[in-house]
Parts: sequence; C-alpha cells; structure tokens
Amino acid sequence: MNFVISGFRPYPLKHRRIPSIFRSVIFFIALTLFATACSTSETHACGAQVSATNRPLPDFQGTLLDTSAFDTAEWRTGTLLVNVWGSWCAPCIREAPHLAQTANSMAEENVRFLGVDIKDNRPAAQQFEERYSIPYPSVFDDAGAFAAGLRVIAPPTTFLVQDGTVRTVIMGETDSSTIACVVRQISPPPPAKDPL
Amino acid sequence: MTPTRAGSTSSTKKDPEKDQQTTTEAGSGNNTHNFDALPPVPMKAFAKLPGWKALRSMRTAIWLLLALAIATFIPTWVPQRITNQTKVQEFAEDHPSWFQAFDRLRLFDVFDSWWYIGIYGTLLFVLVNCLVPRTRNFFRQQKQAFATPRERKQFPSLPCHVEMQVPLSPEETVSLLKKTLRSHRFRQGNLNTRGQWVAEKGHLREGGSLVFHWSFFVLLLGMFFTRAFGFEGQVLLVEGEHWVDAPVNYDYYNPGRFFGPEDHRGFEIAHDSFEVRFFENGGPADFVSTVRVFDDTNNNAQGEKSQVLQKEIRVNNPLDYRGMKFYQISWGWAIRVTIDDQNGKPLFDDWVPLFPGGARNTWTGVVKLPSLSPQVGMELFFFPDALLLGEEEAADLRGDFAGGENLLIRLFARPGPPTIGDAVLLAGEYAGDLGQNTLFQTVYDLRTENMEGPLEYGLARLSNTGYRFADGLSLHAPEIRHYSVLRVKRDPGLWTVLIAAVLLMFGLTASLYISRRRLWVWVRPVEPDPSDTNTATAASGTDTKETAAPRTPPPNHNSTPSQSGEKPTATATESTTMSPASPLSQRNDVLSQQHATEAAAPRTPQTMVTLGGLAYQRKDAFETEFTRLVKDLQAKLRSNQAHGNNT
Repeated sequence: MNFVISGFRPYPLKHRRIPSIFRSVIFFIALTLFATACSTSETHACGAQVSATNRPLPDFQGTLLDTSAFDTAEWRTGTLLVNVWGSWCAPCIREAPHLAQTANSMAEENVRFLGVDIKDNRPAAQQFEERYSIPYPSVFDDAGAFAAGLRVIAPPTTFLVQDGTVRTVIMGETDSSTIACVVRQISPPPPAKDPL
Repeated sequence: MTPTRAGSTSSTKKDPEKDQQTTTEAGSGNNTHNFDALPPVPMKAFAKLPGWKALRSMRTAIWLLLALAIATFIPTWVPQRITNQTKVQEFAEDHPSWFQAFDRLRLFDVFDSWWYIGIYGTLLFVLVNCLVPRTRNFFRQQKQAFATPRERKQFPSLPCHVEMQVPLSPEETVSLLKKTLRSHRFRQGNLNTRGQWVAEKGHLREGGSLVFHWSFFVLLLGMFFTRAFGFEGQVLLVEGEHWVDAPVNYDYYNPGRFFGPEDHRGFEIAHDSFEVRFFENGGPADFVSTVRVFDDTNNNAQGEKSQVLQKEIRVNNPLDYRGMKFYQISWGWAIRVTIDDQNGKPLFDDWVPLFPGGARNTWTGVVKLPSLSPQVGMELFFFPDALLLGEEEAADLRGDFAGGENLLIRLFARPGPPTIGDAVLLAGEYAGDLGQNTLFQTVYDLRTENMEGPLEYGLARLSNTGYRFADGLSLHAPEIRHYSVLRVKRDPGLWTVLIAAVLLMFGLTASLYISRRRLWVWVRPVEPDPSDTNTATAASGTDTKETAAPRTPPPNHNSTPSQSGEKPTATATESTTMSPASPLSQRNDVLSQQHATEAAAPRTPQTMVTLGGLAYQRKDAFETEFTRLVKDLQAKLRSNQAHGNNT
C-alpha cells in the first residue's frame, strides 16, 4: 500500500534555510557574558578581600582559651578587631605575626583585639599563642557557634566591630597595612599633637 | 514570512473557497499555497536580530542539549574543585602549562563556568521560544475547524478509502455518520455546503509531545533552581560533639550560586551516640546516629537555644529540619590522642578521625603539630583488634612499617567487622616542614616531602600505656569513639524535578503511542440517472477487502426530484464531476446488495458516502482501525435500515 500522497498535503511544507545555529549561540553567550560583567561588585578601598557590612555582633557566652569566662556583652563598646583562626590553618599561621604586631601598635589607639579559635584543641591553640606571642585573648569556639553567628565562611577572617556593630569583613589572610586601612576608614587617627 | 505563517494555522484558517482557488491556480490539483498572494505579516523588531530564527528552532535545542551532555561529561575526565580539590592541585603540580589553559576555560569548575551557564540559559530560552508558538497552535486547533475538506478526485490517493451507496436520505446519513464517528471518539468539523466534513483523532499525540517538552523545560529549570538556590555539604561528627549549622563548620561545602552564608539556620546539633550493627558475614546491617537538635524557638536573634527534637538518623531515614536534610552516609573511629612534651606540658589533645584502608587492615589518621620547631607530624595506624603474626607470615609485609622494631613487623589488624578488641595505636613520627604554605593538603593528609622520617614508631595501647619518643614527646590514646559522617542537603527544586520527570514520562508515552489520524467524509445524494445503474456495481476499497464480496446487481435508485432538490448547490457539482469512467465508480455497497434481494421500494432514497482516512503515524494500526470503523458503520446502517423498515 502506498502511503505517499501525491498532490495534497494537509499542511504545506515550506523549505527553509538551515538556521545559523552557532551565530545565535555566540550571540547568547555574549549576552550572558555581558550580564556577568555588569554584576561584579565594586571593590573596597582597602583591597579586594575587604567588604563593608552592617550587622550586630552576635551574642555569645563561652570560655576563653585560658578557660576564663567570655561574654560579648563586655566587648560592645569602642573599636574591636575580631580575628577568626585555628592552629591547624596555614594562612592563620602566616598572618599571626602581623596580627600580634598590629595589636601591640594599636593598643594606644584604644583598638581592642579578640581572637576566635575554631575547631581546635586547647593545648595546640595555646602552643600557637605562645609561639607567635599573641597579646590578646581568644575565645575557644570548638563547636563553631560564635563563628557561625559572625557568618565566617572559612578561617582566617577578620572583622572590624564598632560599638557592637560589625562594619568591615576581611576575608582570608591579612596584614598590618590592610588592618590599619580598615581601622582608619572607621575611626580617623587622632590629630597630631601640637609640637609646641 | 514568519514560520507561523507557514505553519498549520494558515491552512486551517482558510475557507474552502479560498482553498479551491489556490488549487486551481497551482494547477493539476497540486495544493501548494500561494503565500505571496497573502499580505505580509509585519515582523517584530527582535525577530530581525541575528540568529533569531535559530533561537526558535528545535534543531538548535538538540545541539545545545548535546553540548550540555558533553560538558556534563567533562568532570569524568577532569577533576573538579568542588569535589576533589586535592586532585586539581596534583594536576596543577604535574602539568602546570595545561593547568593554565584548562583553568582559563574553567574546566575545573565546569558547572559554575560562564559557558556552561550560557549553554543552559540558551537551551531554556530556545525551548520556550519553540514551545510557546507550538502550544498556542495546539490550543487554537482545539477550537477551530481542522483541515479543509478533500476534493473528490483526491480520495483514491488516501491510503484508506471506501465509497458506499446507502439507502438513506443524505440528512439521515450525515447524522448517522456523525454519531458513529463520535462513538469512535473522532472530533468532527463542520459540514460544508457540499456535504463534506473532516474528522480527527489523536490530538493527544501533539498534546503529549507538548507535555514532554514542557516537562523537560521544567526539569531543567528545577535542576537549575536546585543548583542555584540549593546547597550540599558534609560533616563529620564525633560522638559527644556539638555542631552549629554554618559554612565554616562543614568539612565539605558546596553552596549554590545564590545560597549565601545568611541562608544557614544556625541551629545546633549534638551527636549523642552512634551505633553500627553487622551481619554475620561482616557487612554493616545498620548505622544509627542519635542526635538532638537545639534551636532558637523564640526566633529572636539573642535567644537561648533549646532542644527542639531528638532523632535517630539511619540510612534512608534522614533528619529533616528547617529544609535541611541530614543523611547518614558513613562512619568510622575517632581516637583521642594526647601529646605532651618532655616536661609534661600538653601540646595536643583532640579527637582524630581515622579512616579505613590503611596498610595491614588498619585505620589511618594524622596528627600535625605546626607550632613546634621543627614542625612534627604523625601518621597514625589504628589496629582495632591487633594480631601478632608469626615471623614467616609477616615476612611479606616487612615493607609496611620500615624502620620500625621487630614487633611492628608482625602486627596485623584482625579482618572482619571492626570491633574493638586488643586495640593498638601506632604512630610514625616525622619532623621538619609540614609544608602547609607550600604543599596542598587537607587536615587529613600529611605531606612528608620536606620532612624526615619516619623517625620512630610509637605504640600506644587503648589504655593509658603510652609511648615516649626519643625527642621527649609522649603519646597517649586514652579513648576511642565513633564518628558519623552526615551529608547535608537542601533541595529547593526536588519536588519540581520529581513531578516534571513523571509528567515527562507520561508525555513521552502519549507522543510515542498515540497517532494522529484524519477522516474526510463526503455525503451526497445519488442522481436518479438510469445510465448510472452500472456504475453502482459494488467493489471494495483496498483496505476493506474482507468486506468485499461478489456483488449482485444494485437496486434501482430512484430518488425523487423533490428530495434531490432539497440538497443545495451540491447536486450540481456532483453531477458534473461524476462520470462512469471515474475510478470512484468502484463502490462498496453491502447494503444495497442486501436490499436488492429484498426488493426495496423503488422510491428509497439513495446516498453516496465517500470516506477517506489517513494516519500520520502508526499507519498499519490505522488500517485495522479504519476497517473496524467501516464495519461498524455498515452494521449501524443495517440496523438503522431494519429499524426504518419496521416503522
């Protein structure tokens, strides 16, 4: 039986040129690229890893590395720099000397420092503090609860807190100049004393 | 001219007169539509963009799907950052130049690369672009009359056709035919002035195909949604450990592009206990992690967390809390290791997870002491139940703990279900540079390239009998516990994907197994022409051979002039087209045959029915269906006739 129907088609067929598929794909990828390019955020004046934020310092009660009690209530005034670290974390080891030095130099400017030691064990952390002569106390946050409240993605992360409000986040390894820059942005240096 | 114009709607919209006209223009009955005669449809501005046509083509969608499939296979050959950072790093160390090129092409994170997202987005766009006009046409066709009635001389070209003379008036025939076709679930168009109409069946094929394609679209969208707004992670929890839901606390963390740290709920999980049971053959029968969840039920950010639930997480029985699912995937031993210096000052005191698969059936782990100088690393081998092999048996294994004492060479972990018996921890000490700044490593690996060792093997039993290394470090392994590995997932598009997948299967089945078929029907009164009696000799259509039988001469068909006059314009047309020599003079007339013997009244009205059918798919099945339809029709006619005679 012949199924080929001559002379009549229920739907007319129209011969079309094969469309230029690749041209359209390139066009669309270009569009995607353009959209991606537009969405990149502006960089902070202190570096690409720095971003500004505005959220409260989370409440946390726990212990410090030396087992004494800790409560964020006591840390809600003035300028505070919070560094999240762990003795097992290589970039934390690299930035430790810079942090110790900066903490010492900024003590006069009423900038307090606080460490948050996460997923660690006390003897190893104490060994770390000793080795790098860290002058400030550290919270022992084994469960990662304080770090969770601070919205840490990975250590090391450093936060600048002004009167109980987290203002700046430095993701990853940092150094003295970045910290200085961030602190200067929030609280300008006191006017130089009149030499006379 | 847009493709829509060339589509089906244009032909279905046209009235028969118009169709007739184009037919004559084209000549020889060739029904090619003369589109130039129609006014041009103005194009929309975007339709002029380069490649717009391709973006409306299913062919493009197929190519894009192929590209997506190939891209999805890349992770089979190229290690991915999200799953295996270590392998990526190894690749970088082994082939630095290739690594550069590959990295620029984002081959190490394919699923987050701009080109993958670009292909995906384009595919979704093309699918919508194809499906919207198709769907619109589909719904339009549900409302409108379908195809144009056929020219009489085209009926023989249909694969299935039959012509029969019926001893009924044309009106009765039409109503009977319509009823029969309705009972065969044909959708029918309107009767035109010439006594013709079209019936169709199998629209669900296109409907099914549309459901299939839309489901596929929804599936892709759901997968994208899951990937973009979902999250996947893994946590290792030692018994007794507390854990808080936050990015920093995951051992493996792979969030979607739009899943931020603020999307974590911040609840706390306490892993209270873990239990594993084994079958007699040593295979694990069941793992159970008992956890408690603490959350801030008052929902004020400052609030205390309180216990909200307790749950036993088993394989296939996850914990589902606030959109996060925790699946039990693995387990192991974690050993508490303490290391003190020569003065008894603690240097390390932590739970070290051990993983199976070490030499001699052991479980292995790592301890790193980066704050010592020189740095110290220890490779741990745990024997849950240690055996002491004989000298000869151990001889083949001599290489495992090179540099160790004679006793170590004979140690072996008992095979079978790992239960704690005579548990022994063996630690190989390395000193030097851990390479944390130079060599890629996780907390679970020890890179010994820049270290010396193993300097010494220390052996601690799972009690307080420790070991003092030559450099003064002392090792103890006071406790052992289970750890449980949980996979944490958030799948916002899970139900979408599932429902789409089910609909997809239904749609596919419908589109594969339903065929579209169409019938053209033509009913007209038979002219009371005496010369026509010869042509009424019955013959069968090709497909209804079984109904064909030797025919007796047909009866006289004498329709009264008044009856034929009732029929409008049709009669005039028919009389001209009908000739004895026409191939249509073959007639299948079972009924007239019957009634001939019964010597029906000479005044019985006679009607000619021409029925032609065409299936667009599954043509063989249609032949049977058509035959069945014709038989049914004949039966109906017969019963109708009998009924009519009685009254």
